[in-house]
Amino acid sequence: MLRRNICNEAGARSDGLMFVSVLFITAFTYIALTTNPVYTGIGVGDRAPDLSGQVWDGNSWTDFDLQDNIDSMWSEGDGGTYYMIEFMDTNCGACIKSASEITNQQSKWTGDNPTRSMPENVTVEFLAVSISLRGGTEGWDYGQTEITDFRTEYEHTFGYMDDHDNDNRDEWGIPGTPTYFLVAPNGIILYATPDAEQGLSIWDAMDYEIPTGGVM
Amino acid sequence: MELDANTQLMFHWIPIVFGLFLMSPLGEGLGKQLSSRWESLDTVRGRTLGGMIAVMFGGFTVSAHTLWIHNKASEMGGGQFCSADGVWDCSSVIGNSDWNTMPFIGLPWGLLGMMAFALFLWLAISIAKEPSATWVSSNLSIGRNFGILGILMIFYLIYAEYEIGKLCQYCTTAHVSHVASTIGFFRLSKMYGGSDWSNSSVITAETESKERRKRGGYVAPKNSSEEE
Repeated sequence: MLRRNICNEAGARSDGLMFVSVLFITAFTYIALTTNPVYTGIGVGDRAPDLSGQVWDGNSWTDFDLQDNIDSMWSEGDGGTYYMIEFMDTNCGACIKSASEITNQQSKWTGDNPTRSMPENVTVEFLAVSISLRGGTEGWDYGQTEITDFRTEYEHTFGYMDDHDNDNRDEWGIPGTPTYFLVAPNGIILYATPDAEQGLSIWDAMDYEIPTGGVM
Repeated sequence: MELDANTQLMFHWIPIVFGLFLMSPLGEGLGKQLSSRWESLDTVRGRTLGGMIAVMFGGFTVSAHTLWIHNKASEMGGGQFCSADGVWDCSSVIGNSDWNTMPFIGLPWGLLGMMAFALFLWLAISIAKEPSATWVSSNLSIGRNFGILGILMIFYLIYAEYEIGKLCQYCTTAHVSHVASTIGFFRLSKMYGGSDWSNSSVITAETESKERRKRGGYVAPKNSSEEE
């Protein structure tokens, strides 16, 4: 009587499974050991999403793209530019309140002679992204004139991005205003208001994260 | 010396081209030459399975490479991990965060490719090792169905490339492997139950016993009389 060979049938499947498992584990281990993926998001440790649009620098509207100002090869200890990004609305009360504080902070961090001690090859740039929280609502006016007037009123010297179409707000998923981010020269977020511990402000984070002292 | 991305891609094409050649009618001569080492390559079924395994292996390695590029692009923020040469620009496709993961699930396409080719390899290797097993028919059916599902995904990825305006040479290599593997499963299904399959089985069963005896391995009894 001819008997079906069950042992060989099972053996063929497990031999195949063994080969495939070894192949899969080898490939996966190699990938895990040689790469360190960082995902794009707005949490601390994430890569900042793209941020682009027209920026008012006090004289003209110019195109700006955060990615063009990122040095992906940067590592801690290198020189570079840190970005303090504020998502704000020129009509929002909390943003108006914080505008004066930013005026005080800008001389500490930005310009040719910041009062905060920093290595010579480290710079800090502020960027305000003006979004539209309540477009069409009476009393909430939007437009480039609103942005330029706001900047002049608070004597801000840094750039203001026009995001009244909310493209960047949607890309970043901004929950409210003002929302602050500190972005390292390699594009990694070091501080984000939604992630921040209670009481830890952007200015505290900048003091902690941005190096002090002479040339690095 | 660092090889550019297109040269690295050639290494994935080597098993794929070899497999495609073996699967085609042109591969008969090659199969006969190699049959002294792998006897099953003397048969159409053996050549088809051997070719499929080579093609799937190439598909697996290129998918793993795609996942590596995906992770590296995420680590370094884009970058030039793939060559950008006109319309063939894998950086723009694999590094594109809008399209480089599966919708809803969020798995990188490279990882999905690795899983798909691992499954295909398992199905094909199992059949190659035991072509007369009871589960061969279901293995072939799983291979066919996953093959068709994969082809639908390939159409989606071609649409993504169209939207991005660039073609990814690594992805295309994986697509070619997938389509060839699917065709292989259909060819095997057509053969299954026919003379091509059973003749090969007889040859394989006989030669397998001989080879095992040569190696001193255990030969499972086929008849009840052999057992006694």
